[in-house]
Amino acid sequence: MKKFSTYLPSLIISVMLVFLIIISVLMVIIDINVTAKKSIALTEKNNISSIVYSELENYFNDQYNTTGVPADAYMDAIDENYINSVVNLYTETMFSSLKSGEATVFKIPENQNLENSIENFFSTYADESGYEKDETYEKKLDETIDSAYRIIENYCDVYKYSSLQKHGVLTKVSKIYSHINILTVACIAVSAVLILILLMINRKNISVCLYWVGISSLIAGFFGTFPSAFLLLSRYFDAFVIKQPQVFKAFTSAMYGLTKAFMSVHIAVLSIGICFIILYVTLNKMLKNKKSTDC
Amino acid sequence: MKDNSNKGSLAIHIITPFIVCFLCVGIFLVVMIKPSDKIKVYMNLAFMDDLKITPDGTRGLVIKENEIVNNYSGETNDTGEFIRPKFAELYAVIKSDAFELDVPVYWGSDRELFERGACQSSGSVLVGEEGNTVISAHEDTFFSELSTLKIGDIITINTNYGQFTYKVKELIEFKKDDNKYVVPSEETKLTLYTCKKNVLGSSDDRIGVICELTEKKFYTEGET
Repeated sequence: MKKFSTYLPSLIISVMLVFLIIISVLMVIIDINVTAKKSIALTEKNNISSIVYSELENYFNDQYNTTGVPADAYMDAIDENYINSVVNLYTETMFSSLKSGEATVFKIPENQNLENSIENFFSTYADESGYEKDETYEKKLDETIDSAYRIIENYCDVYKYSSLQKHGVLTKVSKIYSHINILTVACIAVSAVLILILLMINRKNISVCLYWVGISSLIAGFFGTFPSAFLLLSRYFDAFVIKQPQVFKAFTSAMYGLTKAFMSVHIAVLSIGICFIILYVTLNKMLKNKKSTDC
Repeated sequence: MKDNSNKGSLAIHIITPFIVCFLCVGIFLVVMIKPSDKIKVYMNLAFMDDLKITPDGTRGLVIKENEIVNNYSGETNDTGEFIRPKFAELYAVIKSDAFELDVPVYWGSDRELFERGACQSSGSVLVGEEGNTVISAHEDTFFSELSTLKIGDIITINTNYGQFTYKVKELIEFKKDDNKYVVPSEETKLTLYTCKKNVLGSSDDRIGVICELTEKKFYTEGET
């Protein structure tokens, strides 16, 4: 260990192993947790649909003085199940885009009840006001229905798929996401190769490899555990200025979930590092005792 | 002597984790400088719409999000008709190899519009028209990569009336009160500018590029 010719290369490999361990853990966590199924389960667990429903109601109530269409015309026709289906469809569309690398056009499921409800309101209003149901009337009706769908789409887009797609961010992210399995395997393979190189460098005293791998695991575990703990304990993600409550809830719950998973795995990595070092110390002592008794 | 040797070995064993730790932190900080800027831009872009309570503009501003033709495969001509947009209308998309993201361009300048894309001064000429086309955007979102443009870089602007290609010919820097680059001109050019990055807060300096028009492709009626 004191020889510079083995110490320096071992030190470099140890530093590389720290990063590889952290990256491998991150890839595995993303592969397992960042999926359509898990995202949908998270939105359902956090009751995002009821938040969306409530926000939509507030919006349509606020817009009444501008549009003249009461909130009931919209809200009586839609329910949390419909909202849930739109939110889930958005999530599935986003992950489909991420996997394929191509922008998938989102099409909101039609809601005949909503269209009928708006049409009934317009028809009743026109009849009561003596307004002729001409082309202008039809145009206004179509615009109101389109606007209703657009607004529901916007509120149900809790993971901001449309913004990410519009600005080309999704295409960039999908280049990594679509190859995440390969990248994970590559990271693990490179780690294995580095450990083999470490063994070759320290072939005269193989037990030292336990020390170097242990140090890498310990430090990787430390870097993964303590910053994650800080983020969780300080409720760091709550400080993000996201004014739409449903987006805020979806984003923060996803980030806290990922951070918890990241921290849990790194606690295990930290423990493995400590075990390796204890094993190295024990082996070292046993070898020294054996040498002294042999003498 | 054996004791000293053992003490030396113990010291190395204790110091080594700290050396590895410091090396890792140093490498991480150096490597994360650029990605952290990009992550900030992506977060701004993703959540920026949430600064609005309503999907449309507030204060009576009606923002029209047109679908800009991206993959036109029909016939084109180097002359054609311009389609003048209305205020707050999305009317163009800027693309360049130097930019990671496509930049939407709205007609007119407004605080809300700057949060959705780049804004073209409505006092300047349309993209592809004779004169000075002036487009600006925030440096922490849509024009975060403007400073990476070099002379000779190609910029393509897609509109619904045609596709126009410009080549960067000059890099500029000026004070915010200096109008010389944003006034009308007889020369046909594209002026893109943004605030100069300032860690301590907003900047009075502006940076940008002036580009010359190299190709005009007006869409003729037919396949889009």
